[in-house]
Amino acid sequence: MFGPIVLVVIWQFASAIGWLSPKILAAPSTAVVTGFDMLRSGTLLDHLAASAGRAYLGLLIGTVTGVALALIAGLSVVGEAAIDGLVQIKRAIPTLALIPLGIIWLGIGDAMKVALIATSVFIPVYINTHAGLRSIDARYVELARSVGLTRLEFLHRVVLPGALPGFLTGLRLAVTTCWTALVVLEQINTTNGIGYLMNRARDYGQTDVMVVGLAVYAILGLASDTAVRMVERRALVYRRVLGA
Amino acid sequence: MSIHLGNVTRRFSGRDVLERISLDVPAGEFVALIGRSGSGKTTLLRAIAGLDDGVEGSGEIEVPDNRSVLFQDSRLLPWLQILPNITLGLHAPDADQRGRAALADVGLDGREKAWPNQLSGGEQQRAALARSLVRHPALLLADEPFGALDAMTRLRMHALLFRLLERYAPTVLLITHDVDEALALADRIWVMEHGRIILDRPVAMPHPRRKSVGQYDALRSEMLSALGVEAEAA
Repeated sequence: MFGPIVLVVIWQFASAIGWLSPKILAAPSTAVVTGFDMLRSGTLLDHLAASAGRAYLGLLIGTVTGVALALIAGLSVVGEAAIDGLVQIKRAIPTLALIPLGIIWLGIGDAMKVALIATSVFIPVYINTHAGLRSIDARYVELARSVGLTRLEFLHRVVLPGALPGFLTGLRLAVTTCWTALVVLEQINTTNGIGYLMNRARDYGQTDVMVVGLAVYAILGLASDTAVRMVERRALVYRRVLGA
Repeated sequence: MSIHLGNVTRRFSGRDVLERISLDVPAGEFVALIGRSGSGKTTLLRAIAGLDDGVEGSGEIEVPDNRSVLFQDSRLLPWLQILPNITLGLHAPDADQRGRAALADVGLDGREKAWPNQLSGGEQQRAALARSLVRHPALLLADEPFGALDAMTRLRMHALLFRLLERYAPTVLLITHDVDEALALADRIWVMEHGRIILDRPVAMPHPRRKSVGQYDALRSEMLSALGVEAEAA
């Protein structure tokens, strides 16, 4: 935490002695006061709830899609041929470039926003889960055959636990990815959300509100990452036992 | 007969790895298969185990369905604790109970909840042995299961295996590169070379077998020269 603390101290100092005008960037102290006011009046939580609803619904849909596609591609040759190339193409296209088509297909409401978040989330989930599946040791597959595991047992005992580390890496990327598209998406036909809040602040030149919005993103990103890491620690306990 | 092979051939990229192998092993016999690396031992074991789908070849193979493979590595799934590793794929209502009994047999009682990487190499291989025996196999196929263990641990594993086999009495095919291991354990020894069995010798000595007692030294010299190793004086 040394770097971030030094940065905030310099930033505060520069604002206090007038080097940094509030028109350019609000002082950290101003942003804290503004954030606290917004929290007390309830506006911050309302906007946060609206954004979180979109982000996490998109995360859920994108994660389920990513895992399902990774399993299909990882477990069958036909699936691999059909799916992997398409996903790689999708990966090369920036999510934001899909906004115009998204609007024509799904309108300007939340359906379009959630769909675009889901498409940006499913990529890291798919790529890492797929890589996890491919890295499962062939010797375990042979063992599964020699002890006569059924298809379902094979999935449950070998495939899913083998792909879990990859999936969790993908999920860690996904929990931050799901917020990034929001900033732009919430410029379109919305009256709530952190992205909307920051865009409106631009109209009024409120740099303190912008800093609050950025801080919220940073906190959410770190918190989500920590949450996934905690899940990872519990789920992959077998990896730690020797070092612990 | 427990194992019957008729004219079994296996080919990798045009080269015969097994050349028309025909053999029969009566139920309950312990056969050790020795040979240099590349002689086709593992290919033969995999063919008998039915683990060689997609390999080019022909011939008839009759083996019991109830067979179990002991690999060179313990091949325990790292994400499962020892007990579920032992009972993996065992579809019996008393699977857990049998798993605990098998762990006790190999001296791992109390380690049911350990993770595989908490066990030493010898313990992991004992757990793998328990995983094989818990299925009460009619045929045990072992591919150098003690090859990666140190000499002391290997000797202890021999004694353990011998004791357990007396109880479970499966037919055994053990691949080894160690002539002394074969002489210590087997009822019959095959030497393999270039995809053929070039030597087939019964070992009729009583257990436990020791160097310089009975036919031991004579058999050992014969095996070693069949393997192309000049037998040392000792």
